[in-house]
Amino acid sequence: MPPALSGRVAVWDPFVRLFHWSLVALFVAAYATGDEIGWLHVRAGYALAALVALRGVWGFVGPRNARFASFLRSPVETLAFLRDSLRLKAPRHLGHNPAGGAMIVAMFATLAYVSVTGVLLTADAFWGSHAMKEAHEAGVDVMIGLIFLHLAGVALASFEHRENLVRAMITGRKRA
Amino acid sequence: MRKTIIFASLAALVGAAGVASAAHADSLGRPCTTKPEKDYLTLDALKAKVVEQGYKIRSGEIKKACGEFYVIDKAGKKAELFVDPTSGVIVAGGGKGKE
Repeated sequence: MPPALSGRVAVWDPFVRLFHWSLVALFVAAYATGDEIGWLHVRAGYALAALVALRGVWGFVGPRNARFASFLRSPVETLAFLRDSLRLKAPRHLGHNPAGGAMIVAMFATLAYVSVTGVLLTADAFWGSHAMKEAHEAGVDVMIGLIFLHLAGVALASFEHRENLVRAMITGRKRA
Repeated sequence: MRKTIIFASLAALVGAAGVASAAHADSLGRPCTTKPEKDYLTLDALKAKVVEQGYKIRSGEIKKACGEFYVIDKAGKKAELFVDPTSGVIVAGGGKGKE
């Protein structure tokens, strides 16, 4: 095996990686075009919602590290993991750690909410509705908060276990 | 099953084509007037002008030198109107029916 690959294992399959970075691009596109370029904003929103739905299915039929059963943990276990992380004493996980699993649940729920309120805004009933617009934007604000937490968590875990988790989500490989 | 999902994802990324015709919000991309803000009518006065022209207003604001209104037109269709804030004259959006 070439030196660069020796001692590294495949962790993230191509769909998981494509999904993750597409979500980033689509969210940025949607965020940037909000009230400005309607046709692009709506398309990004629908594509995003479709991708999340597909990831949902993949979570049941995909390879091991993609499956929800492999990384979702109870709230008790997740809080314990978070506490240990802040003490830099959390165990290393090859796939998503419990905090990552919780973040995925939170983000999917929030994106679903943002998508649904977005679609409602295009319906006759809510066209021009200030209240629905506020509801939609509140969800986006939550998503922004989650993104910051996510980046902080990835940085913490990377530091804690001395690995580049961003690169791992690009190449799919990690130290064994 | 996995191949189906991958193919469907690529399709989602490339298109969302069927929904391109959905109603949506825009900025006009250019000012509706070059006159200074002191020449603008009040939002209430602009709303009255829009209603006069046969529209039902859902919401509106003055933004980027335009009066921007989400309306239902005489035919019951959703539309976004851009009006000259100094006169209430519709600059864009009037003729375009959105479903």
